[in-house]
Amino acid sequence: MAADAIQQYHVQPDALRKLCSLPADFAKRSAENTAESHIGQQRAIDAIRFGIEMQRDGYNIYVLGPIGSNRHDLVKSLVAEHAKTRGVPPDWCYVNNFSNPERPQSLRFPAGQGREFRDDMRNLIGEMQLAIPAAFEGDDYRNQLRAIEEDTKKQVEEQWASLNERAAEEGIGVLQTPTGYVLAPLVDGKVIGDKEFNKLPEEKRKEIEAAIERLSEDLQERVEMMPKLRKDHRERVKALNEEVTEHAVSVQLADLIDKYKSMPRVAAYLDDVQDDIIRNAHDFQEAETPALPFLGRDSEHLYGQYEVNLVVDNASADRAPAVYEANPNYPNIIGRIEHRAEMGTLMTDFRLVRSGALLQANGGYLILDTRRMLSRPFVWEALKQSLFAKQVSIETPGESWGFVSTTTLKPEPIPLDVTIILIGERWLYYLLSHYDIEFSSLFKVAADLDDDLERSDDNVEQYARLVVRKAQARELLPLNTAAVQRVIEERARYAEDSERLSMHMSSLDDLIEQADYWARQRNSAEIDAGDIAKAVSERRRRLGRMQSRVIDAIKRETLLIDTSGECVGQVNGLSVTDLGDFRYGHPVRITATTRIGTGDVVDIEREVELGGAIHSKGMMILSSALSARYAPDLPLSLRGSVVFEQSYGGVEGDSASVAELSALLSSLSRLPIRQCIAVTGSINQLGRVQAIGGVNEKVEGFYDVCRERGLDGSHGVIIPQDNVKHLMLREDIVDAVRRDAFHIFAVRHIDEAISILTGVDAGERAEDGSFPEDSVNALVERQLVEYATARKSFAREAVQDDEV
Amino acid sequence: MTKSEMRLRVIIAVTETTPVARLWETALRLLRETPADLAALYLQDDRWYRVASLPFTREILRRGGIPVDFTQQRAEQVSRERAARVREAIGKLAAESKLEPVFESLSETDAARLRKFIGSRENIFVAPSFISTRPIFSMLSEMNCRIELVEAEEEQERPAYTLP
Repeated sequence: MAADAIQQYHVQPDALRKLCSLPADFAKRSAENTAESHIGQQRAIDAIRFGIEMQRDGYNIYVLGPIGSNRHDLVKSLVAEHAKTRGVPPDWCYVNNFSNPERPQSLRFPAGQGREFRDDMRNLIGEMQLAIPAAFEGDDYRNQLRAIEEDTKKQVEEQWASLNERAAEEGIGVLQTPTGYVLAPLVDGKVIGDKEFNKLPEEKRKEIEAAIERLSEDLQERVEMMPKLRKDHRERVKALNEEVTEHAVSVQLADLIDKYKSMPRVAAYLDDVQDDIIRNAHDFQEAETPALPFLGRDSEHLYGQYEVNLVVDNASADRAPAVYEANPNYPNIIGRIEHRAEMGTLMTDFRLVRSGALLQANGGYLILDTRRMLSRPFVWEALKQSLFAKQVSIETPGESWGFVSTTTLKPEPIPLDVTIILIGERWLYYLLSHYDIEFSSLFKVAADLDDDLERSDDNVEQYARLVVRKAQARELLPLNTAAVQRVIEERARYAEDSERLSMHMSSLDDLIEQADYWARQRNSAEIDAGDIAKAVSERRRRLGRMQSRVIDAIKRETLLIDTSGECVGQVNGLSVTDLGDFRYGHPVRITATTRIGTGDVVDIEREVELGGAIHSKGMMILSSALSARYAPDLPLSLRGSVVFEQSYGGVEGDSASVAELSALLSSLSRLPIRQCIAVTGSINQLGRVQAIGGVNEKVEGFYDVCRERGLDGSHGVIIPQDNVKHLMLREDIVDAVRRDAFHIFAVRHIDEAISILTGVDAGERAEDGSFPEDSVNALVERQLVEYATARKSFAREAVQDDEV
Repeated sequence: MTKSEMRLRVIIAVTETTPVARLWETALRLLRETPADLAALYLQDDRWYRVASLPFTREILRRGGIPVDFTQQRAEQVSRERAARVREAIGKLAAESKLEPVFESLSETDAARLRKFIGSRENIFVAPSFISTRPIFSMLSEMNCRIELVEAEEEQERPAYTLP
């Protein structure tokens, strides 16, 4: 193929890197204008706004976007904006449930009044701690108590005295043993024994026995009466204690009941408090620290039961809450019940109930990172359960899942009205949508962030302003116009498209921060284009160890890559190695061999299971393209094999299919391929060359190898025409192309690629069905016909041999 | 005769109804006046054994329930318990005065043991006045023991009911 014919496929230098051109006074003007923070994300912004304004069940939001897309800032700013328009939600408290302490009751207060109520109860407790003991230590109480005790004592002694009197009348003594009483006959005031007793006349003995019998019954009755006397005494003392306690607390409680009478549940709770204090008045007398911890309730416990556990406090809020929980584990989301160790036992009560982010965000918005949330056990199910039930039940995961059966608290659920905003990657959204049937009914709003935006003049202007504003916000050196232009170009490169700009904001931040560093290193007052370029190249250098090793291996001919000369069945393909944060391209030798066969093209990578599914698909397509294009009337009697030489890892993608087909065509045509040219591109069954990914890295990878060996003007890369718009090559490559030291060829069809690679015209099929003499296609077809003929004759000979 | 056997001994003679504290004061006074040893003699009340010897005696329990037979064994228990109670009271008083009296318990009708206890030593008995009507008083008088009577009445047993 003549050089001037090849010329038509050259990509012009201007198309290799689309430069940015901003007005000269851009930097000055941009400082005066505010920039839109989230340009190019209008669809996602509208979706988020829709979700946060749609106050209906299930309208929770999933924000789809990659890490670094500024998704958190976007969500937080939109939520903060809308939170101002919503009222401050109520406060929530947990208080003791006196009839069932294991189920603390919740109380709702208008914002700010929860704290006030808590303080009121604290004051009440403080007053009780003074007033109640004082009342019990007062003379009035002591006198009344003494009167009751004396009255009871008198009753007991009366019983005793009357018994003794009656016994004495009958000549019987009442003796007290440590555990009871013994009735004994007396003679002259002295207890007599059996000898004296037996000396008495029989009649007297019978009288004594009868008297003792009667008195025993009487004594028994009196003994049985004693518990009742004790009970009566207790009740009288209790009544007195209650009266004293009621008097001591009624004034303070009456004020509180009056203050909170408009809140029926609170008023009812205060009534319960009063009843409980009065009912347990006796405890307040002994509300001191017991000698041993387990011997009684100390004052902390006694008065603590009237404390208020303020779990949601919106006293200082002026808008609806917007909570971001960075560590979305179960307790942090749902809440937890804490315990304290007492005498080796874990104890809890309503005061140790702690709210989670759901309650903190109640009445507003809760922002969660999906990946983190899903990686924490039990959280997702608990969150869904709360959303479905529209209430938060604070319980341990063990309790929630029924693993634990020990007695613990079960606080009254609190009604939930919150908008959940999950932020996560797209694949997580699709995964949840596909596998969790409840997901779509709970998260009805998807806000899909764009990865990039069109590089229109208007967008470039806005984007450039955003760059300037980011530098200001981060207190970086100002960027001059050239620097901003360079940033725009790098953002197009990051987007792998000269016509689009990446919206990956964290990488933009990194770029300008690093450029700031380099500008400061040279004591500059501003960041210029060189600093941006330096930031890019230094980053590449920091991450480029593997790339250097590959180039070095090629240079030392450990990895065999020819960049000069010609070879049949051998072509330079291009591959990209992705290291996550960095990727680079490098050439890879692809060889093909052909011989007579049954129409198979063997992909050695696939045979040894090193080829991925897409690579295998590409191989099958090129095999099909081969059979469709040549000798259509004959069976494809070819056995070809294709391999990535010195490839010891997996191969994926179909971007080498143009190279693979070129190697096969070279092998069939026996036309050598120029090794100074590398080729990339995928192919369809009709031979059409299609776009591939990583075109910039691939071109740069081959360029770097050729540069190491010395550019002589012959080197170049064939890329799909459809990839030209994606080119944002390094400036040194653009310069090399401008100097004719390196070439980029853009092709649309395999014929164009093979023509460039072999230097021989591929040849178009004429109306008579033939290809031009000595064209690549003619040679390929001739070879395939020969294979078919030979195969046919082999088959005939085999039949004759069988007949013989 | 050893030196200690010649030494004067002050003996507090107590029964289960004796107000011990009053006797203790007198004993201390005597000890202050004359160097002497101190001993406590508990005179067992035989009434528990006597009442236990009667076939119809029952103990009506304070906690209620069916009355139980008051046996000799039970009498022994009660007697021991009473002696222990008195010994404890004397022990407390002695501890306050940093004294360690010898404690002896015997039946007030057991003359032989009483004689043996008294021995040949010079003893001063500190006893409640009501003891003068009891047989032991005459026994001690016969043994030429010096008796210091302390005006005291037998303590009346109060109903053993405690208020809640």
